[in-house]
Amino acid sequence: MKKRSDKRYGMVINLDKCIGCGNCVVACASENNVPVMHDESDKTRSVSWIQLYLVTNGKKFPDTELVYIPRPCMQCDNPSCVTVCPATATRKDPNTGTISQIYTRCIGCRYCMAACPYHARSFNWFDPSFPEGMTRYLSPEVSPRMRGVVEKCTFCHHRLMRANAKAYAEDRRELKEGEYFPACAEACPTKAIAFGNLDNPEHKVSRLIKSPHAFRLLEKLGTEPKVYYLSKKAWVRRMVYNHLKK
Amino acid sequence: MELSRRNFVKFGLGVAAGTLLTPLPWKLLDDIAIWTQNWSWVPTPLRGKVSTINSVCTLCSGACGISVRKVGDRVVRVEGRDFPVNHGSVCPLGLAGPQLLYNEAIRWKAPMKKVSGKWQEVSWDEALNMLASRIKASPGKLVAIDGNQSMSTMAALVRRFLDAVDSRNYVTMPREEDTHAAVSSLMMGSDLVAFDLENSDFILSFGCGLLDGWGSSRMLSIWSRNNPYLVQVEPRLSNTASKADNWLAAFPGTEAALAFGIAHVLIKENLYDKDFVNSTSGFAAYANVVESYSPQAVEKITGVSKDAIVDVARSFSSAKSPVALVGQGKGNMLGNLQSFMAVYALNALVGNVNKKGGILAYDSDNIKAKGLLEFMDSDSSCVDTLLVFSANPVYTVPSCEDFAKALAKIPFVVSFSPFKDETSLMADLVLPDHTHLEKMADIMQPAGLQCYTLSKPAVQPLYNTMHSGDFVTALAKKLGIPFQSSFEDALKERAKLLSISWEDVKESGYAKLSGKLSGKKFSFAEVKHVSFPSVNGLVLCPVELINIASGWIANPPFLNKTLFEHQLRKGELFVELNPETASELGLKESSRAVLKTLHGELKVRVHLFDGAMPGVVFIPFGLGHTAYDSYLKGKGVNPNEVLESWHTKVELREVV
Repeated sequence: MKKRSDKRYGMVINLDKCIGCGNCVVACASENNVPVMHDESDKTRSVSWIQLYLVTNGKKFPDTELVYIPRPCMQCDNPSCVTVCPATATRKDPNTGTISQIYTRCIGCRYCMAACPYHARSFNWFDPSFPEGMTRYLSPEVSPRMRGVVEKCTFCHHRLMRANAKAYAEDRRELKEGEYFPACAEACPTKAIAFGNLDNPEHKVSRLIKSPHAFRLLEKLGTEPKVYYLSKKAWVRRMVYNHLKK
Repeated sequence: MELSRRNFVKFGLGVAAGTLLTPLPWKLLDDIAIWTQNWSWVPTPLRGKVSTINSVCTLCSGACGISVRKVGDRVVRVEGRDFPVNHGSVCPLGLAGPQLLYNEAIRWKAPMKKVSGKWQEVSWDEALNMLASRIKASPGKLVAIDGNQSMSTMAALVRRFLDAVDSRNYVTMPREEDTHAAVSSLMMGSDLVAFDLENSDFILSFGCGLLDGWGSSRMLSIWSRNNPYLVQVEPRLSNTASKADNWLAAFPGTEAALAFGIAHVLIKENLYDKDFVNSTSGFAAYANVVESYSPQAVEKITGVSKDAIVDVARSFSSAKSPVALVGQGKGNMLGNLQSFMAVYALNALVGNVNKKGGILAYDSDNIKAKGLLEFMDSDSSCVDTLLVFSANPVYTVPSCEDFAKALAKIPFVVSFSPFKDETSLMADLVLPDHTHLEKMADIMQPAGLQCYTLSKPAVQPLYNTMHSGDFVTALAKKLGIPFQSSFEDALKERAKLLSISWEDVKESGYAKLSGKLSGKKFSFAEVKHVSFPSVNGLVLCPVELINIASGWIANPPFLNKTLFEHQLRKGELFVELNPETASELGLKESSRAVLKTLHGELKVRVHLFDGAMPGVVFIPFGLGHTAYDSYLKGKGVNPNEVLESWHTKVELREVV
């Protein structure tokens, strides 16, 4: 596998700005026809492409601090899910670097779920369920998934196709910054999520990832995630590298 | 050829090898794979022309600009749009709007009446006649509970209708706005007050969940764009407290003492604005009240260290445009008069009254509305017909069971809710309104932002519903009252009165108003000594979360995805408890417990959270519906069943 794609679309999430409102989760579910279950509190069965985690600094009241960590698919440069897939149902796009998931090829073995260290993938244990009448809001840009397949965040790939089509119609071959961004980044009310091509020096994200406050999750595994986080709080960054020192 | 063992094996191997050379097994595998995934009940979204409608979200009084993406005649997405109120930010409830529109199971599809406990569809004409004759018989016994935004045309129409039939029983749902109006009338001579948060560089918030839904998404956008210095006074590490530059954890109910303590430092250290204070009245008496609240004394009452109080006072006075604001959660409940006044006084001390980035009082026509509680206290035998607009009091009012009992005694209850909520299920007649994406509605913010916003229908009404505004006008016509001919007419009339171009506001959804600041003197006179009860025993405090809709609109299923396992698990709600308090009570993480107040008991589970103040039990609002469908019903409990106010004495014991 070619290590670097032509473009490297990536995300930088500023945790100091994330207020844990869940807009990204709702916008994602709404944009991508994610089904809802009667009991969404059953997190091993429910489907979410982006999920919030809550961490605290472990100090006693009133010195406690908390931070939310939104976790989409990390779209790794070196994805462990792709190499284990026996059905070639998931693949790294050589142009954009995003990891695709082809539902009709997926045989539901869930190897990729076991391989993904970020728990970014969900399995459809049941037929997709939507409350009565709610199939009317489904978007034709994203195909609803069937029982027995794995699904995950695609960086709203259909939005890229939409932006590309528009650019093509206007006789442009390159997208401008801000023409393509996923639904979560668009919906973030505090603009905590920045999105763009990490390799393009003109894109904001390429500057942000060079910040001394930037980090990625589980970097030690060598998966090279393209989702970066920013936090000025030292305890947050320490927590991420907790394998180094106890 | 002889069928020997050898030949048989050879033949078998030959068949196996031969089959593998044909595409048959691969084709079969492929077919099986396709067949296993070819479920006819996987929905196929219909294609269609993509269009966008720019509108305004009217699910709360925030009035955020939204853009509604449509495919054909279906609403597919709601997104925020660049709008002077919210600058593109919206809240999760607004985003989940399509689920409220399309959830068939929770919507009333036609006018219904209850006949001996069973629902029966009626025609709109029939409903109109039924209600008109009822009102004609005893107009004085007509009561309306109105949850519409207080300045909206819908609220004005309802009020006007009640006036016209000579009923004085116009009741609004309790909200923080009412306390602000009362306090600002006393202190600033006008009941139209606002905090100019857009232009403030230092926000001292007493309890307002600025990043938890207070002031809708407008506040989120202010915080992310302007990055003001934020001080949050709250007993729990909420999202707002966690993002604040300074978090002061004062005991619940002691906000006024903290405000007095800060005022004490400002006066002692001569940090207050003398020029402004000279233009006010009642300062001497106020200074006298504050005198006894030294930082040491306040530390004892509030639990906030004296150094922190002095620090905040100093930085508050040195900021360019500091503003102190007060409220609770999302601002859906009445506040405490004394603590509101104590905080208003802080603004006057730094002279930031009727100035950019401060507290602003506007000239207003005094709009009087009776409170809901007065109505509840009154003898319900004087009520014959009750109209409920945009409200679900059986669920949202504290000690809601008492309210439900009072409601059950009323002979004829009419609900205008589009949803099968707790209140409309208790009604005798349901006249379903359109949902927010199907109708035109306005929200006016005459103070602060000074804007008039108007939503437009994104889709044609899906069911046999009717705009409540149109129903009220039709009802008035039936009763022979001179009235507007339709809701749209009323809106047009309103626009004319406000000197707004109807065509422009219909298109853009926004018009700027030009309010005048009131020139009244600021008065400290009403600020008095407050007694703070000593804290002993557990206190129950409700929490409002931005990702749970806790008002009259129910939580759409998408929002349940955002909840953590330590908030809701398999229908059981978790309360937050400090680990120390929990160990005193013998409770562990995920323990089941019973929560008991004077009003009743609730079964909950316990989540240990370091950010919860010791001695306080925190319970989230918005779950525990008994109405709606299986995606909403029976998830957790409703704190309103046991609450009396923002803090209630409580007992918590483990259930084994």
